[in-house]
Amino acid sequence: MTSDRLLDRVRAANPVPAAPIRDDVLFARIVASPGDARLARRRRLRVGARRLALVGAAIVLTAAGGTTGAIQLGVFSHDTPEALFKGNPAGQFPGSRHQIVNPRTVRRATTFTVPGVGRFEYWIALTRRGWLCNAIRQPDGTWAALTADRFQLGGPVPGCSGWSWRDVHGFAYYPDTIPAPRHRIWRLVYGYAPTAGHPVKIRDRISGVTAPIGDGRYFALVIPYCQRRSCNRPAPFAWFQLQTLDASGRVLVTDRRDAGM
Amino acid sequence: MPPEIQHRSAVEARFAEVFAHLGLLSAYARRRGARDPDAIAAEAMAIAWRRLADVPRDDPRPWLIATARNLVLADRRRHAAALQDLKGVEPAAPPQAAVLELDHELEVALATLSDTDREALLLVAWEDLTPSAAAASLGISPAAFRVRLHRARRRLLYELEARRAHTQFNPAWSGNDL
Repeated sequence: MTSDRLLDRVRAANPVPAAPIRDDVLFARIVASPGDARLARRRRLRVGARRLALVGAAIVLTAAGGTTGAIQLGVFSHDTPEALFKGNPAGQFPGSRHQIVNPRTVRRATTFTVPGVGRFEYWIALTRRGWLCNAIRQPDGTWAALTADRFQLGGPVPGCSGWSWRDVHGFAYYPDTIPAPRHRIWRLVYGYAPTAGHPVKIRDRISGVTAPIGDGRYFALVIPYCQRRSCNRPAPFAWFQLQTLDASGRVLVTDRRDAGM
Repeated sequence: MPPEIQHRSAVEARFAEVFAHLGLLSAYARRRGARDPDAIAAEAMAIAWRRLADVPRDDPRPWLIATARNLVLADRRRHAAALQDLKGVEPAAPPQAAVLELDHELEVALATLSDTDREALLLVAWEDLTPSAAAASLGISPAAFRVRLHRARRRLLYELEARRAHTQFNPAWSGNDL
């Protein structure tokens, strides 16, 4: 059998031929949710109006003094993690039911720093049904994937996309990438690790990068993704493989290798 | 029409082009053994909406499939962990893929491939991606993908021919126990 005939045979054996699906309800639900802020229309003010707006802003800044920062934070993000989770911004997403968050469970799980970008915070909460909610606060105080998405983080944050709190032994995480200055890209892997054996650190076995485990199980690991000179292709260690370590550095649990996104 | 609404319509029109691939994602998730393929497809589309600027305009399929793959793998990890939780034993094997109607001989041969090689082959054969698009979906260079695809085809061919030779010399053997 030639290689082409082989491929034809595999094609013919396709068990689920793709067929167009029309789902207007799902489409409507998705577009009713907050979209990509980078595509938001930027309002262009005429020069006169812009000057007027600047003068107005200056007056407000002077008058409001120290409260301005709080107002600004409220405008561009949900001002507190509690408000964010209570506001349930991703609640209308498919598969995101049962997102009534228990306010007492809202906490900062860990922090992580992306070189050249800044310090991020990984926040979590539990819903009344025990589902896990995730959110990432960015260096400028805004929440990832909500408003001005300058760090291009996305995925299941903010929201409660069904990660289970009752997961005791396994890893559950989401891999993403963050662009940094000088065309560098970092891989971010965040989620939770198995709690077996009192882990204190998580390590990528391939790159050797480690990060602390927060609150007994949560982690956010920043791994180099691109070669120094070119980000067109991932570094040789673009694969990653997570391990938990105890206080003595002993490996507790090793996950399978992952190519991520 | 006010400019804001016009702009919103333009963004939605762009997303509609992406959303047209919902069937592809659902089929992809089903072929890869997802327990709820429609939910995977819906979640991948929701992520695409939130990251629409990242979705390539010319061909969104590699990006969508990469996202769906991550969701399938994450779901598989969760399910495996939940099984461990129930059994209270050492890490269990990943859950078995859903039962699909597949040529048995081919199914067994495909199972002998590594996950990465099999994915390379199936992206081309079942998802109908070009090698460049499949490489983009896997986040590897086209050259690396070609090597992977070549290896997968060679390995699959070897497995199928080995089975055929075995059957010729053992006519009574049905081939279902390999």
